[in-house]
Amino acid sequence: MEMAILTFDTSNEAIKGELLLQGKLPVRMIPLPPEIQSGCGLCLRIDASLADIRKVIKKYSVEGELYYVDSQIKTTYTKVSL
Amino acid sequence: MIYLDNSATTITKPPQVAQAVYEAIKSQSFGNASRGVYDPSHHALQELFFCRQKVAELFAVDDPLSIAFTPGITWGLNLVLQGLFSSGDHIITGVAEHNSVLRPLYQLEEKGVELSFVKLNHHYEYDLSSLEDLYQENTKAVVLTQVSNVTGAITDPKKLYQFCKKKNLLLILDGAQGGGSIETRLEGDLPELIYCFTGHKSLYGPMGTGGVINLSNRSFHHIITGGSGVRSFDRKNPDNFPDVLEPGTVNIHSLMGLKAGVEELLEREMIYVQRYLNFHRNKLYDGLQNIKGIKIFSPESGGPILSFSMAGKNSQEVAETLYRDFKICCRGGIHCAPLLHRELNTADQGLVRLSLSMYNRVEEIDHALFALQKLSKYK
Repeated sequence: MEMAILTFDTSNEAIKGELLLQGKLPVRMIPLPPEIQSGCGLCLRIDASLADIRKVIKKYSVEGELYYVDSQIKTTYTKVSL
Repeated sequence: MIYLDNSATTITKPPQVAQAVYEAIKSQSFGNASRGVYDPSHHALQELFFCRQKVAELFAVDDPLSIAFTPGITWGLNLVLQGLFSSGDHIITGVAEHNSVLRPLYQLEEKGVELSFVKLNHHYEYDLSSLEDLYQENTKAVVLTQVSNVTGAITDPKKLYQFCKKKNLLLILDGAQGGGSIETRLEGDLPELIYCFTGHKSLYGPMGTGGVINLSNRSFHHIITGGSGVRSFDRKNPDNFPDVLEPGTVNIHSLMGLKAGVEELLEREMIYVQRYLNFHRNKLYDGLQNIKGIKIFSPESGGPILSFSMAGKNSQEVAETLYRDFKICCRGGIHCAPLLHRELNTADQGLVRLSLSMYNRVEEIDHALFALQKLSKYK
């Protein structure tokens, strides 16, 4: 299963993003992983493919920064375009 | 008791307002918003957003994050005015403003901000045709009330929008008396606009609630700083709106009450609320006109506020007698709008103000008129 992290400047933007994406993607709010330097202390974990995430984010005009999460060997976070 | 001081605060609230505040505390489900991902903190953050959504819906605002909550409109106006202007700026304001606008502006004046004042026309309304004459090269904003807290006069929004848009000025509206009493839709061809509102008057929420609707691209200087729950190593609070105006812990318990008050207005629909208030105001206005010795200082139509003087009587005495003999609560004296009283020549004896809410009934208006009729004959 693919996974990504969506970060926001503020927690108010994070909750707005979560509410916009709820029911459209498997999403839940988690603390910001320490490996990611940008964003507020909260972010959204989304268990879906990047293609699906991008499609929904675009449709609902959610703003933030998207990180692809690779957990195969060691968890890494790679910033990708929205 | 008949309560006609709703411009000071409404004391009859929808029952669900008190219930919402009670439940917010009793449920033990509201943590501090933005302090973690555990349920109570997440729940508070989410409910705070829902409260923004309801306020946004009431004022026809697209983005709920355009709304910052403050501990009242006085705080909101201060944060906005102190946070946006500096020496060398010129601001156009008006003689009907409340001290919650005037005093922050006077503070700015001491720091080198210039002020000019719009005067009134013969209908107690702002003479907006004078805006062009008051405009200067360094004018940055127009700051006016939406509805006068003394006369109930409504400031024509369209003319203001047109002028501010043409001159590229920020418009700051004091919505203390307008929000929830007249239909206010902040949409269409707007200039850069900031609308400040209070929760405890015609939005029927608890005291200690209010906010700022920011439909501008302005950056605010931080006036109050403190915890933010995020970016703790930064030396200042986040610049983003609404965070920049919401340092520390947001008053989520009371905001749940505000949300319930706003929901009640949405349920009733503002057009009908305004119509109800207009009906009672018209009845009061007509009745006052027929009482000998009363001079009305309010336009024929306006917000749910009417002020008057009674020949040979001090306004404070009239207000006190109305309560003592007839159990009618209203306000006399100077209504925190000193320039207006000077303009109206009522600085000495003040004015008696009657102000309505959506819970006043027609019998109460009748009783108030009966009382004033009798009082006018007191020696």
